[in-house]
Parts: sequence; structure tokens; C-alpha cells
Amino acid sequence: MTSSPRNQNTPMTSVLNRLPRLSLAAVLLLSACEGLPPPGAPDPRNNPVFEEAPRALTTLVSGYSWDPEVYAIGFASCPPPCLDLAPFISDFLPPFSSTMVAGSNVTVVSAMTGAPVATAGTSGMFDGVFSVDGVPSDPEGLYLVTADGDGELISPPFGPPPPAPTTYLPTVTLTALATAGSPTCAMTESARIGSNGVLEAVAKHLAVTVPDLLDPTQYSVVAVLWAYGPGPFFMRTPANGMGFAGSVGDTYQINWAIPETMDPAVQSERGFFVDTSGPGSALGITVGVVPASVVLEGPVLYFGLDPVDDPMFGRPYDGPPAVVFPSPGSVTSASMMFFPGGPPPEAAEGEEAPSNPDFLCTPAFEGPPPGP
Amino acid sequence: MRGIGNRLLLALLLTTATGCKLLDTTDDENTVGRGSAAFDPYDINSGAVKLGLSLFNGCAVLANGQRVGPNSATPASYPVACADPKSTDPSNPPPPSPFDPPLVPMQLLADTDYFLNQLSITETVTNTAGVTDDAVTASRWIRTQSSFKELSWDGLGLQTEEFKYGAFEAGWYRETLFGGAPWMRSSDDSFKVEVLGPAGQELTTVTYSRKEFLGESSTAGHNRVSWRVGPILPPEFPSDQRNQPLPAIPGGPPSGPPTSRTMVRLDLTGSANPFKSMRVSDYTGEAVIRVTWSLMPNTPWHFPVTFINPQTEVPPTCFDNAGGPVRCTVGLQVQAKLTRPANELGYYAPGELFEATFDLRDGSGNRLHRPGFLPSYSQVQNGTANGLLYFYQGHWSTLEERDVSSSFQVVGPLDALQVVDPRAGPEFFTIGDHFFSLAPDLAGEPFPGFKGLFELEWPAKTRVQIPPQSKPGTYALIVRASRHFYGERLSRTETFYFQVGQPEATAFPGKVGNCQICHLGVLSMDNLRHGQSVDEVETCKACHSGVDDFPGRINRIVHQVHMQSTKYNRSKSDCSVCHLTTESTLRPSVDTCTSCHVSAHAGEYFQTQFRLAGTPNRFSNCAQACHGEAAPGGHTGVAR
Repeated sequence: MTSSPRNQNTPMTSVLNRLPRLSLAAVLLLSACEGLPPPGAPDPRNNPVFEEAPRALTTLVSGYSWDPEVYAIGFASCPPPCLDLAPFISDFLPPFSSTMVAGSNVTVVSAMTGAPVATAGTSGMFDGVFSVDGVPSDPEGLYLVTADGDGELISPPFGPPPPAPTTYLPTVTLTALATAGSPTCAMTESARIGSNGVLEAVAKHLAVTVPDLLDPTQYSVVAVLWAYGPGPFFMRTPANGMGFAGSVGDTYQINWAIPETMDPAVQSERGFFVDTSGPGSALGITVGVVPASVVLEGPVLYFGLDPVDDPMFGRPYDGPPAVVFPSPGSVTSASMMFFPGGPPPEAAEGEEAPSNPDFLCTPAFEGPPPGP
Repeated sequence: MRGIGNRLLLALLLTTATGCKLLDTTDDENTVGRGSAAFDPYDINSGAVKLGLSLFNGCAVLANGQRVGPNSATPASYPVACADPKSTDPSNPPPPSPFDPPLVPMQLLADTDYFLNQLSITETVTNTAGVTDDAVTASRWIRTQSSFKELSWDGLGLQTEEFKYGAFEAGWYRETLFGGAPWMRSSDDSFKVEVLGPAGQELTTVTYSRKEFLGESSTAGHNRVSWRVGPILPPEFPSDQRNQPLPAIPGGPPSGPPTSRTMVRLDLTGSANPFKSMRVSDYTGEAVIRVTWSLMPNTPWHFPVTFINPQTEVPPTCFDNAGGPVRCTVGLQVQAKLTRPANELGYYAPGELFEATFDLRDGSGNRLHRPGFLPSYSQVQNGTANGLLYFYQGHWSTLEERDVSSSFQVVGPLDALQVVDPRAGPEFFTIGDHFFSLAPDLAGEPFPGFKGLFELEWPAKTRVQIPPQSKPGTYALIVRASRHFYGERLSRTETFYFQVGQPEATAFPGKVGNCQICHLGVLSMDNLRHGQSVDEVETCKACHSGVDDFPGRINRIVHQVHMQSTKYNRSKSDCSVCHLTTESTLRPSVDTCTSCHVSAHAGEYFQTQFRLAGTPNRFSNCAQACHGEAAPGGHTGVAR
């Protein structure tokens, strides 16, 4: 009878022979341990699930196509103290709710080159909202919004009667977007400037036509500058009395009267006219133009001028200049929010300074953006 | 000799194997404290569905704020007009307008087992003379005129008066909590749940004992009888009863009067018996759920419902991976993916910008939202977001509901997590001192309705940049989603870990824990609010470390919840139940101590409670003054 190896007494040599193999097993087990986290480390099953391949980050740019002239008319036609109007960028409150433009073809362009960076979007027929997906989230990049196409003012069922219809002109909105910090830029303004409003008033003042103003052979810069008073990001309170002065070219302060109540040679169809009575505009509206004959060595800077001296309300207001580059064939619209002049108020104990939401894509730096 | 050798080898192997837990065959899912093995409500195959029933000022409401209208089965007493739970001032609504949302049906699935997991009955009155003038008026109204007047209110009195610092409007809120009524400590009462058809026919009936629910704490947003006024200035001395409005900001609009609100809320949540379920079979159509509390037998609550066929009447509103339409199921899964680190070594460099993409699905894995985009606030509030929920202010102020938002946070490294002085800032990284909604809260603001935000479908992703000077180690992306779908009310939190600056994982400090001593099985942490695993309790600090008291700081609210609980059966002075190290008990602050000891030091540090900055303030570490080496007297289980 042959004993099974299992039944044989195992000599010490056999144990020693097994040791290397078992030691090897132990080493393998130990090496398996090396990949485990230390005691108390998180559950490795929830370790990150990375996307399959690297990809470039992009941002969805969403916002509204609006007619800031209509907004200004809403305030101008409401006598002080005009408590019926709330200066909010709101879907529900006039005068803003009456300013939406449908059918605008909205493009996001590089502020450096002016080249489109994503497929254009169209503002909605009922709400004027557009969205442009796939805008690069380049940490070094700054982007502007341009709009062309017919466009049509949306008349809501409530609110003031709409002003005269207009033909909208190609418009560059001077609100720089820094897309690197957020996958979404929302509430982005895309202004539309019409042919029978502030530009018609300036054209009449200069004895030219609106098409002349947009002719690059005649004018290199046409900018409409809107001065708004201090407030959070969702407010646009016209800074009455403010104006702008340009580093180059001419500036014209704009006022408004009920249409067809002034000499048609000076008043536009929508009621605007050039006001030469003072340094500012009752509505905070200035138009700057630079003739093509003037050689530009850089952007045109438009500095806010506040002739109002009222420290109780932080006036004169303060703020950076608007930096306008030539955009041939287009008008530039710049909504400039000012802040109270004088020393900043001391923060109350525990109070934190409010900051803009990330989705506004406000550039973090101060000062003018780099030019081409 | 063979035995010695084998034992030697066995010992070698065992030492090796146990050292790295290779012989630890227990799956985390089966360990004490984890609920999934016992009952996983997120799993479509769990066998029953968590039912949440909520009533606000007499009307049934859905968790997204929609109001449920009467139907053919509701009694005539059911309101035909309902107050808006989304409003912060529901007693003074704006005039009716054509834009007011309609009342909606509450749909439930026929032939489906439901178990009652949350019953919320809330009555809130705001800014109303005779009801909200002061605590005395509020108490009288609660006892004699509220819809809870049938209850015995004998012994009702002031339980606590607490000042909370507000998040939405910067200022203080005086909050009086009433206690002492018999129902507040009752445990042998019950709730009879009847489902009745239009002719009053009984479709099914189940009775739940109060003992079968876990959560009742007012701190956690459950039962409360309260009066609150704010925002106001803080009191100047202990007996200061003035409610001083905030001064106007110079140059700004005048400061409005503070809001007063009186509230009675019965909120029982966290079923301890999910196997006690109810099912309506062979019936579709309108019905009503009638809930009768044994302590209020003459005042039942009614919830109009409509049972639909889950096979044929559920529309295909979810999405498959290609974006095509599919029928949603109940359940909830939270997934996230991160962009690949630039170094291809599996960890991000400090300062590196990366992106997390959220992916929320039902229990069957169907997408709740189209790939890459979250629903808009409009879709959520109009009930077309497949049940996904976003935050709105009324949840907090009007309903006191605390588990509604879908949100995220990033925190790390894990080994640096500790209780912080919010003013000094944490020694760990977060993207903010509270949670961030997956779609920004501002987008859902009812007023003034910021242009384009309410209707926007937000990209389902966020962008993160761990600052260049950050400590290396393991970081966490915490994602929470909430859903109310065909009656099922769920919140689920998942934590996704990633490395920053080094490939080696770092561990939680291990300073607090032991939750599973009590929170086990169906009452485990991942089955409760916010649906987060006990394994991740030390990440609570990521969202609960801010200055304001409405998300609240974890060092305060975790003590309040348990010290006020009628169901916490451990010694309330034994710190070692939850504190795993002595050191972790030795960072007391006025903020922490007053969470349990309202009159600690007999008012000696009264003003410190209201100091948000400076030295000392409400967050300052008392250990630096007196309690540096020993816990205050009366506390046990830690070195003294």
C-alpha cells in the first residue's frame, strides 16, 4: 500500500522547501496591499471616474437680445419719481420686459481678433433669449457678443406702448466675457441699436445719414455709451446727468422728448436728439464717433463724466473707461455700470462684500482689455 | 514537525493577509451602519417605494412647490385655492394673475408597494395681526385657532429662544420654540392611512405607529411649534425683547419691516419599517389618501391622488444614453465624471482647472435630464423635470423643509477636515462655505425673475480650480440630488474622491463617527437625510461651516439634533459616543456650547454670541481661554 503524500510525515526539509513558495505568496499578498489606501481612507470604489479622453473645456453663453433705447425711453417717458418702473433685468418688470428683440443672430467673437469662436445662436421669438454653445474656455481669452440679422422688438401684453419700429444695425456689445471660470455665462447682454434712434439724432446733428455713420470709409468708430448708476448686477439705473468724453474723436450727449414734438431736423423718429446744453445727458447716453480720417494708434477710451455733486448719493460716480476698438460696419454699444465716488463705506461687522455670480463671467482683472 | 511548520506558514500568511484585510470578507454593504443591504430605497428592485406626503395650510403640495388641487374623491372641505409654499410671505400673496400656476394632480403608481416615509403637515402664518405679533399671540393662536387646535396643548410653554444669523437677508432672527405639549413627547400614537376611491370605497388601509419614524427634531426641519421674527438687530442684553429693524443702508432703499411667522409643523420622517407597505391594485383613477392621527381623530388630513398604470400611463420623459425618450422609473442614482488630469498620472496639480460633469439617473439607470444639460428651474417648478428638485426659499422659511436642493461641494484634503472658525477660514479647501446648487439658486428667484435664468437648461457640469498653494492629498466631490417622483421622495448623496498634488491617498482624521451605533439597517445614514453614507460623515463640514445659521454649522446642529431628540438613547453627556479622540472634544466655542446649554456661563458671554467677527466671537475657541485641556464639568468619556 502506497501512502498518499498527504499522509506522509513531512520532514523539516520539506517545510523549508515550501517556505520560499509560501514566502513568495506572502510577498505577493503584501505587494497587493501596497495599492490599498491607509486605514480610514475613503472607499476606493468611489475613486474618480475620469472621462475617457482629454477634451478642451467649453462654455455655454446664454443671454438676451435687447434694445437699450426702448429701456431709456421707458424711463424718459415716466415722470419723476417714476416709482412705477423697477430698474431690474427682469422678465416681469417694465421697462426691461418691453425691450426684448427676437430673431437676432448672435455670435460670440474673440475680443482679440474679432473672429467668431462658435456657431451663432438666434434670440427666441417670445423671450429674446439666445444661447451659443461651445465657446472656448480659454484662460487667456476674452470674448464679446455681436448681433446682426433683422431682429424684431417683442411687444409684451403689458407695459408701455412700443416705440416706432426700427431697422436694427449690426451691433457689438462691449461686455467682455471671461469663460475659463464657468461652464455657463448667463444673462449676457446682446444689444441691438436701431436706425431711427440715437444714431439718427447724431446723423441729423452731423448732417449725414445713419448708413454714413456705419460706412468704414467715413467713420472708424461709432459707439453708443450708456451710463448706469451703482447697483448689483441685475440693476440698470440710468445715471441721469452723466456723459462721456473720448480720447479721440467727438462725443454727443443725447436727450429725449416725445416724438414729433421737436424740429424733425434734430429729433429722431424715436424722439432722441443731441443735447448741447451741458456736459452730460439727462439719460446718461453719449454717442462717440471717430472719423475715418483720424489715425488710431489704439483703442478709443471713453471716460465717464459726472457733473453731479451729491456725496449723499455717492456722486460724482466713478468707474473705468469704456475701451472701444474699431468694428467696421457695426455700431458698438457699451453699458457702463458706475460705482459711488469717494472712499468705500466701511463694511459692517460680519458683512461680506457681495460678489458677482460666476455665471456672469466677469473678467477678474481691472483695467482695459488687451487690444489687437 | 509538520504541524509546527504549517502553523508557522499559516501564521505568516495570516499576518500578511489580515494586515491588509485580505481575509476581511465583509462587504461594506453588509457591515453595520450601511443600509443598502438591508433595504436600498434607491434601487428599483428594493420592493417598495418611499412615499412622502406633504400638506401646507390645508393643501397637499409636491416637493417642487406645486399645489395639488381637489378631485372627485376629496371631501368638500378640501380647499379650492391654496397658499404658495414657495412664497416667503404666503399669508399675503400678490393679487391673482393669469400667470399663476394651476393646481395639479398628485400621481401615484397603481400596483406598486409604497411605504410612508415622510408625513409633513405644516401650517404657517406670516405678518398677520393677532397671529404673529409676538410669542404670546402666536401661542394663543396655535392653541385655539390653528388647524391643530384639536390637540391637547396643556403645558405648552417656551422651550428655547434662539437668535440665528440669516443667510438670505443679512441680519438676526429671533426664534422662539414652544415645547411641553403632550403630543410632542408622545410615542404611542398612530397614523391611520386610508386610500379611498371617489365613492368613498376603501382601496387599502395601513396604520403606522409613531415609533416607526425616526426623525422628529426641529433642528433638522421636522416637528416644530415656533414663532420667528427677522431680520432684526441682535439684542443688547439678555432680557432685551425689542425687535429692532435693520437700519437702511446709506443711499439705499429704506429697510423693510421684519417678517414675523408663526408655525406648527408635524413632520415625521425616516421609516423604521419599510416593509409595512400599502398597495392599490386593479384600480386607476382619482382617489384620496386620508390620514387620521390618533391624537386628532376628528381632523383627518386629505391628499388628493390619481393612480396611474405604471406600464402604460407613464410618459417617456427620461432619456437613454443617446438622448432618446424612455419611461422613467422611481429610484435615484448620482454619478459624476471628471476631466482627465493633465499629467496622465491620475492626479491634478494644485492650480489645475478641471471640470466635473453630473449625471443624475433613476433607479433603472435612465437619465433624468438630457445628456449634458440639467433641467431649468421652470421645468423643475412646473413638474416637467422628471422629479428632480432645486432649492427655493420657501422650502426653508415657509415649510422648514431641509432636504430639497440638488447641490455639490468640493473639499479636501480629507486629512485636514476639522471644525473651523468660519471667520478665520478653514484649513482645508472648499469652493465656498456652504453647498452650491447644481443650477444656481438665483435662477429660481421668484422676484425679480432674472432675465433668461428661469428658463435656461444649465450645463450639467461645474468647473473647479484647487488653488496652487493647496495641500496635497485626497479631495472629494460631493454631489447630492433630490427627487419627488410619483410620490417617492428621495435624497441621495454620493462622494467622488480624487487626488491633488500626489498619487497617495490621505485619510479622514477619524475624529468623529460611530453613527452606526444607532443608525443601522433601514435607519442608516444613507437611508436618511441627505442620503449620505456613514463613511463620509467627516465631510459634513464641507457644507456646514459657514457664518450663517440656516444651513447651520455641523458642530452646532449635530449636537442640537441629538440632544433634543426623544429617541437618542445614549448618555447625552458622554462625548465618547461620537467623538473618537479627546482632542476633538476640546474645541468648544460659544457657538457649540449654546447649542445645548442655552444659559452657559449665565449670560457672562452673552454679547459674544452675536459677534460674527473680532476677538472673541461666537466661533472663537474657548479652549484657548479656559477649556484647553479638559472638557467642561459634567461631560464624560473624555480625558478630564
